Amino acid sequence: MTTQYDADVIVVGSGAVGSNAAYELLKQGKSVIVLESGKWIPRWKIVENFRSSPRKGNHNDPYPNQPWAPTSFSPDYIENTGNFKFLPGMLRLVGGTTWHWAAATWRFLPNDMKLRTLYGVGRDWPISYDELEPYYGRAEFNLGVAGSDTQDQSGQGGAGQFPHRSTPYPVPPEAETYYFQRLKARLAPEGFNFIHEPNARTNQPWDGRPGCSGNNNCMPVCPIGAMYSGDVHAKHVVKMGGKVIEDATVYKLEKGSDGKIVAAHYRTSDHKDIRLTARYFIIAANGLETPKLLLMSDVANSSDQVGRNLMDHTGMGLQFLADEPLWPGRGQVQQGGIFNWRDGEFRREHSAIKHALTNTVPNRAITQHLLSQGIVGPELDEKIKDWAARWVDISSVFELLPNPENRIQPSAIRKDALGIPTMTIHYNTDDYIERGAVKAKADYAKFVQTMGGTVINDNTGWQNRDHIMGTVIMGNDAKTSVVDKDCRSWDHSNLFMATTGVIPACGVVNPTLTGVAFAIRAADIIAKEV
Amino acid sequence: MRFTKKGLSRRQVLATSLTLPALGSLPGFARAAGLVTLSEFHGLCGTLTGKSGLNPEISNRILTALTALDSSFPQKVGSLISAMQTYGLKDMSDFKQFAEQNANQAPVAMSIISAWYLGYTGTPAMDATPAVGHPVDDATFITYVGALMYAPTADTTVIPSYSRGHTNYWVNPPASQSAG
Ligand SMILES: Cc1cc2nc3c(=O)[nH]c(=O)nc-3n(C[C@H](O)[C@H](O)[C@H](O)COP(=O)(O)OP(=O)(O)OC[C@H]3O[C@@H](n4cnc5c(N)ncnc54)[C@H](O)[C@@H]3O)c2cc1C
Ligand code: SF4
Repeated sequence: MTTQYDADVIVVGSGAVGSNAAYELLKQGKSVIVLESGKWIPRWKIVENFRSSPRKGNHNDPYPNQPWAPTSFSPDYIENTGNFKFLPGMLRLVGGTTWHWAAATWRFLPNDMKLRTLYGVGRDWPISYDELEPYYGRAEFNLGVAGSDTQDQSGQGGAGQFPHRSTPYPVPPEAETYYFQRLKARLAPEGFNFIHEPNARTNQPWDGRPGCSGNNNCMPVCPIGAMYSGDVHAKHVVKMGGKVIEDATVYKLEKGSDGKIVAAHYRTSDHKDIRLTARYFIIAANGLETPKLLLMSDVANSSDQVGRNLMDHTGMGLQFLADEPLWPGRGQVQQGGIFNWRDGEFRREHSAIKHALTNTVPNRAITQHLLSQGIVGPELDEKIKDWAARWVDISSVFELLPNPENRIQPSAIRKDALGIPTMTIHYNTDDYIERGAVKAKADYAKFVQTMGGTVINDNTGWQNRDHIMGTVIMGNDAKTSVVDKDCRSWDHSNLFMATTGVIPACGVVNPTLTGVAFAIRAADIIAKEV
Repeated sequence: MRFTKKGLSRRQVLATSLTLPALGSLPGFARAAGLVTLSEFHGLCGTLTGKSGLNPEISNRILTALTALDSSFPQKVGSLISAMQTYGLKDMSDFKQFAEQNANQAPVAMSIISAWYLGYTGTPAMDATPAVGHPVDDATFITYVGALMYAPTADTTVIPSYSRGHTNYWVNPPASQSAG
């Protein structure tokens, strides 16, 4: 007698990573069900919510936050016990958190993947750049990434393309903002290497998306969908005959007698419990919810590493006024940055650093600041105009090392409206990034000095950067890692993790493209087996 | 229509704001405001922002929102108006001195100016936790495109989410600036 399954593959989570995995499996003729705890929401509603929100700096605010599908900003959803308040802005709706990412889509460097071998710190990835390279290309194609084929993205000032690519970027880079041009013109001669940021904010029509028109609202929502978000592939999944079941929060993965996963159990907002079976399971519920689900289900954790090694690119910022008008706020919310500290021998001593140039319309930040100083009347208008022209905002990120003590666990006491545990996070910053911070602050002083600047804030303290890595860590050894280089659980041969949580050493680049590349690779492997 | 009722009416209000007659004489507003009529409040908003032609509907929303935060707000507005009369404050370039001499009134004035410039009242929480010193998020939306903080840069940047340009327009400095 043959076993009947509800689908070949069940994917938990319809974010960019899960939806791309589902899409690739459908392309190869497999049947797929995506289980998503949130709902489909049309873009215009999010845009209207944004426009009528008094919390425009809170990127989660325009999005649904239901007691049965709470976002990470739901009060008390995340309880912190470490020295840093770890609080990324994760969403719950079809398409996931990339609804309000900024769509920076970098490849990691070959050296990022050999951190331990080359520099004696952190961990190595169990896979090389060359092995992952074709999947980076496919991920970039799916997302319509705009990038430069001629730059040394390692930030070391090399003459040509690095790292090497077998396919060009699908979309050419957008024009440089005047702001970027001027900062580069003055800071590059001081030795700072400016690199264009590859991004999924397409500047020409791509896969049903229009070219960017510079609404400057990439976070928290691109009004026209030029910026990629996971709902693009969730829609493709439905068009190709896959199922996306909304309002379906998976709370348990069921183990069979043979060590395989046999079913996913989900709960609806009206408390119906449903069990679905499949040959293979992909958990793509993001870097926090994925380990939480594994721990709640008591699966995949023979290494005791599930939920541990939590890493973000914990960062800091600088705001100052330059001595000339730079006209920030025209175009996309960011464009690139300064990458001298992306790679080098110094990584033995301190973290890598990325300085990104933020290009958001600065009026709110400026006006809040001026009002707090009691500035009113004609002087207020003049200062807003003047400062808005000269405002420079740098957002830096640092490479934290994997530390098993930094971890996410299901809460032992608190539950959401479905009776599913919320989460407890323990996260401490480390000396490796503290030493990096000293270098970053020296750079800040140089930026300000060179630009004839007046500092507004050069001491922000550590900040969240919403890049979740390490929590279902990938490795070569079943004893010290959760998945192998294929994203397959060492403990259950039909269970895969598709999330940035597999990344074992976090470099300084935004991780989602890598999550998608790994997910496409896993989908290829699964397609051969089912 | 593709927009929600809420969104549509706000858009209509904003679109027609300049043509609306002054609402100050409507009795409901005066009663809700206690010691201050809407027309007095609207006049005060004009003085505090130094602007003529403000949208009275926004004044009304600010008065309602600040009164919801503090039920004695209308009385405070009444004393602010008297203090400004006593001092003879007509022009906001004098405000600093007025504020020094009227320490109790200045925060009331600032809350009104802040609402006009930022487009909200209260203190919004930026993430899961309320702002320091504000155990609850008491923010109320007033206006987006009507927020006065955008006017000084109308010729150089968009109000985020409202596109006025085309791909790659950002390669140049603003036309209004490069021409001069
Ligand atoms: C403000 C901000 C800016 C960012 N900018 C960038 C950037 O520029 N570049 C970059 O690379 N990254 C960026 N990130 C990070 C990026 O958003 C995430 O890496 C990315 O969303 C991860 O995709 P995902 O599919 O793994 O998870 P998500 O996008 O979070 O999707 C997971 C989905 O799973 C669903 N889900 C969760 N639990 C369950 C469950 N138990 N059952 C069923 N469904 C479940 C959720 O509802 C969600 O839809 C940013 C993040 C934020 C917050
Ligand atoms: S600048 Fe505007 S149009 Fe372009 S990606 Fe960002 S929000 Fe979308």
